[in-house]
Amino acid sequence: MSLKIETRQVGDVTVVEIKGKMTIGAGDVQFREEVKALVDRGQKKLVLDLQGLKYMDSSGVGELVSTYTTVTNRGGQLHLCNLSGKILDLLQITQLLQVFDTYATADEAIKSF
Amino acid sequence: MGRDFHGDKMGKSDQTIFLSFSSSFEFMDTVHELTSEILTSAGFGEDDRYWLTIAVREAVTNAVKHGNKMDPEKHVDVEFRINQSELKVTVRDRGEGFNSAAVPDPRLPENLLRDKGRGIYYIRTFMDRTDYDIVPGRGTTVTMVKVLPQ
Repeated sequence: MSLKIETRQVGDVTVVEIKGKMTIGAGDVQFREEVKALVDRGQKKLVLDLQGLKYMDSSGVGELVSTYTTVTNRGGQLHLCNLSGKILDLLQITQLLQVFDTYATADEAIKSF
Repeated sequence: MGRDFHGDKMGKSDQTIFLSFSSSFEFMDTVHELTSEILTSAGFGEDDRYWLTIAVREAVTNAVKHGNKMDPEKHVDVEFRINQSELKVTVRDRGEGFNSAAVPDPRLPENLLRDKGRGIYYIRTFMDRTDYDIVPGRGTTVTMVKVLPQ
């Protein structure tokens, strides 16, 4: 299982769909660089859709946090959607649901801006 | 990699599986698959296998990255021991050691936005017991124990 990232634009909101596995040495750097490229291109409203994310370690969690910091420090906003199951649990265990704005669906996350 | 069986008085066998590899993340998937197989054979269900593979991955990641500093000349040793009651996984590196008691709590507000520092917390959350044996200059051994499912 590898990491696949697909992006789509809904108005001025960029939806980043993350699918597969995000772990150290496998997808973590790819994800970071993808989001950085979006921010460098001026995208300020990002939604991370985690429905397809099946497995993540602490490095993957760290990349989610790092991208949140990168986006907000550049004056943007990053929201999460479609968290469920074990991915939700991983964030909850380390209190990260306090950090992220999370939404049940991509539509809700897009409309939240 | 070696596999060893020891019989006990009850007639059931303890199992020991050992692997050793150079410090590179290219072996993570191998460790993951082996861990998953061992957990399955020990009777752990899908949920437990998910969390326990993360715990083992975190320990190996720490050994590769922080212990051995990604030095391919330094090996990481992983041993799985299963007896009648528990699974014991030990991960050993050849690094300088660290103060396991001083690892910051990632849940504290001042640490939430750190992009690292959650691995040990996940290990302690998913395993029933976690112990660190650190010999400064000679390496760190983390021992993780999970009681077998009934």
